[in-house]
Amino acid sequence: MTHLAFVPHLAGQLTPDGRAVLGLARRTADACRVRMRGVVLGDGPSAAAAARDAIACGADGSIVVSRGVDACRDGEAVASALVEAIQHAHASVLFVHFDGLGKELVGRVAKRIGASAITEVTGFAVEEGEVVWERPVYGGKALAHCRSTRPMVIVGVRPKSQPVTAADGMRTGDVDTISAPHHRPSGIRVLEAAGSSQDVPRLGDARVIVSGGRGLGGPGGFEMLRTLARRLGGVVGASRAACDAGWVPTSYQVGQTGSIVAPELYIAVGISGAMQHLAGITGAKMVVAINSDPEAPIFTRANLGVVADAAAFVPAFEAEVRALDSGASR
Amino acid sequence: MRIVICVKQVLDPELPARVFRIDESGRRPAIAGMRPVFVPDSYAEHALELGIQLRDRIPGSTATALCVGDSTSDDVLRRAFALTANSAVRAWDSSWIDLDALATSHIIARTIAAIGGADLVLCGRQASDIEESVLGPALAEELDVPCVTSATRVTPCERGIIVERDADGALLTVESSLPAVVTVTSAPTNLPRMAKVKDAMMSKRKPIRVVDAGALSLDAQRSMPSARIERLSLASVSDACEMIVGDDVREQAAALAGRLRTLGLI
Repeated sequence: MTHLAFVPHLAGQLTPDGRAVLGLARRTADACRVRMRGVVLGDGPSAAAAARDAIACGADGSIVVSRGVDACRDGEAVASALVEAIQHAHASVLFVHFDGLGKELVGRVAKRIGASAITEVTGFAVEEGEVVWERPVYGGKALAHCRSTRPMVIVGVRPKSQPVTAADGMRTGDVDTISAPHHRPSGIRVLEAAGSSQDVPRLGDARVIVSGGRGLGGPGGFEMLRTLARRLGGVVGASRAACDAGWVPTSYQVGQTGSIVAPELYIAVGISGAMQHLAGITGAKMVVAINSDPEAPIFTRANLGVVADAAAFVPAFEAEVRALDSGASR
Repeated sequence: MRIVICVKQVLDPELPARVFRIDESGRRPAIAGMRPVFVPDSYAEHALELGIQLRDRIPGSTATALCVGDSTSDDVLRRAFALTANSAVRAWDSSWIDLDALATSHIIARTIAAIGGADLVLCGRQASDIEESVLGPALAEELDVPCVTSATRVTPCERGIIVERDADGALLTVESSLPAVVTVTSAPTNLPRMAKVKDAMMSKRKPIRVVDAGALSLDAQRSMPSARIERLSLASVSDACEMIVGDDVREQAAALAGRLRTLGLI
């Protein structure tokens, strides 16, 4: 029996998310006493480098699915490649990073091979020789312990739920290269890719995030958050309510259905704390809530709270941080 | 264009954690001191709005709301009628227990076939209870049609539809042939409308078509859940929040800045 982990890479380097998926896959394989191999898509030196990186990060070996699926975001092509890898390895479990692409893949691949789909997985336990998968449900209010009813499982690993595995260059393993299957045309054609990288805050990797919600009263309120975020070396995020109101693009959204984040410091300004928002910040180390309503649910999650009007507090806070910065540099 | 929108009722996701409990089966939620409150699933509401807008833009189109659920789900279908859906279908059979998204996708695919097919199937990007995010892509596999996820806008074009979608923070515009499955995310352009009083009144009298397993030629294997929740456990509640106080905003700001600096966070 073999477990597989689909590991995305950028020009041969595994992404932190890919390493996190490998970490969970390694721990599961150890508990089940099975081999675990990384699955890499692409060709040439970059795919070979990613295959070696997967081994360094915990895989017993790698499978490179080559030809025409390099760094590909076409769900149809990637799903076909993963099905090929599963069949090649006679795998019983495939781990997939559950980001936007992962959300397309899990249902598709599971359907094609008759596997079960278990998503948003954060951990597991082995009970009576079987894996019981753990995943948050009901906006993070409960943890579900799930068992597959089928011999094969596609596991969607919840973003930011796993520590990032360190690479060990001494590890060795075999690399198989297989050809991507011919996949049917997806019926979908990309016309335009907008939202350049500088417009899109890199929420997932940010150390500091300053997020705004409906309490800001309008799009103008985000200007002071940008100033504060720049001062703190962070990026600006938003609640779903602020995005739905059109104050900032949806790419700013932090929450269960926006970016799931795990910064060192998360400052929530004028965010009431809807469950789906809180579910996206469970990994934040320090949450500071600034809200004029002392009863706002955000204070149930925050570590530090300030009951204040955002429009008055945020500029004052930015000025205090600036004073500390200039004091420190003197 | 025949548009089918998959809708769903969910346990109110905003119920606070302090009233959230687990029932005696150990596998389902219970709410302390009150009956569980069910509400229409949020992303499915956005899908419904998008579907109705599209129906209004394309002459001769129909919008059908579809739900897999027992009679308590009639509420969400009545709401679809109140928002001017043309018809409503509910698939239910007492033999369906603990369906997961894969099993539900098979039942929905067969229900769509039973009502004469669809050119465009819309559903929410993920439900706000179990949050599997599997239904749309699995349904596309069942129907053997393209799938576009996290759509904010859909417009008709000569070859099918043009869809604006959120792809992990980047905005992509894609063209898809029809039939297709599109999962919908929230956007300012698809905020659920308010029902007109007249439509809300009318919605109570409109017929909901109910289909059961016998009417659907289901595959026994594919309509079985692929995963089973063995048990639920309550998530740990975070520590109490420490409030930063001060005589005025400046004092509060200084106290917070000092505190975060001491912690090495800023």
